[in-house]
Amino acid sequence: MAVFVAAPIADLMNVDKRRHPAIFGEAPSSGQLGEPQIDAIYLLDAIYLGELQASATSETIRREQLYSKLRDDLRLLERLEAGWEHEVEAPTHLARREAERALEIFKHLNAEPVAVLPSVDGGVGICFNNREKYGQVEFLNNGEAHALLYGGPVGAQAWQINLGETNALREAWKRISVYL
Amino acid sequence: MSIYSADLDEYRQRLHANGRATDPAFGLDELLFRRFPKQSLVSGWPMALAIPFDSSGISVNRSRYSLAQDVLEPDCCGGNYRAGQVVLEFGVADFPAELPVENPEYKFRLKHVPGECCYAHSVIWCNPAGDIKQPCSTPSKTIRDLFRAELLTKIQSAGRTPREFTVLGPVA
Repeated sequence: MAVFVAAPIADLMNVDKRRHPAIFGEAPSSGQLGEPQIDAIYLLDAIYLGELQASATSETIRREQLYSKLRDDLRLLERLEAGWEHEVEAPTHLARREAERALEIFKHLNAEPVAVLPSVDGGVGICFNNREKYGQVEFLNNGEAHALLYGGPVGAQAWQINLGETNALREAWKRISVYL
Repeated sequence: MSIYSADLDEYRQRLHANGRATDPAFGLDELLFRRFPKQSLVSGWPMALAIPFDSSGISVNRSRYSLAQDVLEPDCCGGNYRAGQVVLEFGVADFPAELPVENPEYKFRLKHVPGECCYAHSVIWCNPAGDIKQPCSTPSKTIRDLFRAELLTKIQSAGRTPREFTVLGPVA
């Protein structure tokens, strides 16, 4: 027995809308158009550029958030008291100020530290990490700065950073980034 | 009083000196335990800047006479309860014997320095001669850092993640 099934009216009404206008000769097909319009290329470029800008903006925001957290961690160290670790001094104002200055420099260099921690040698450390490799820059209460790299295949490296030299932290970051 | 072990008799027999003499011989298979602040772990691993190194060397407990959690007991922390600590575990051969490697200035040795309530207490003793009968002294910052780096690299390559323990007993 034949069964009558009513087709959905909406489909019949909209079927033409799913067809490209070129099928009915209402608009030129891509073959008839020839080479793509220069305006269209500019439009695509603009969209791509917009996406790039949006991506760069989100990257900037992410980095701002990271450094905001690191500065907060640094401020928390003000509350540490002497003896926070057995016989260890709390970080002094000098050490915290140098670490804050270093954070600004590292931010401009697009470095991404993972933590700001107190040092058991008395001072503040800015830590870097990439998988099994670690780096740190320490600002001691006596005004000295030291860097340490370890975990990589070339063995550990430790050196003192002369903060009196221009670009000392920039050079230190260059060495850290190569190692990591 | 133990805060990490349930069996107090066993704990006292294990950790208190109970008249035992110093044991200067460390087995190659022995482990050493060191407490470490949990806040100084990065991606779950200890950072070098939180390994203390003072004029009396680095304090550790030895596994022949203690369990890992014993190093967190007030009996082994000068009577103090220290919150927020984890335990680092490493082998007796996991720290460098001398540094720098090319031109050694400092040597590191293990010395059993038992306490009345913490028999397992030992020290990574350091001085230029590598002689545990001579006073321990603090190496330069660069040597301290290289020591920490070598030790932490060994700990990580052996996959010895820091251990965390739950307090069982009352904390004074």
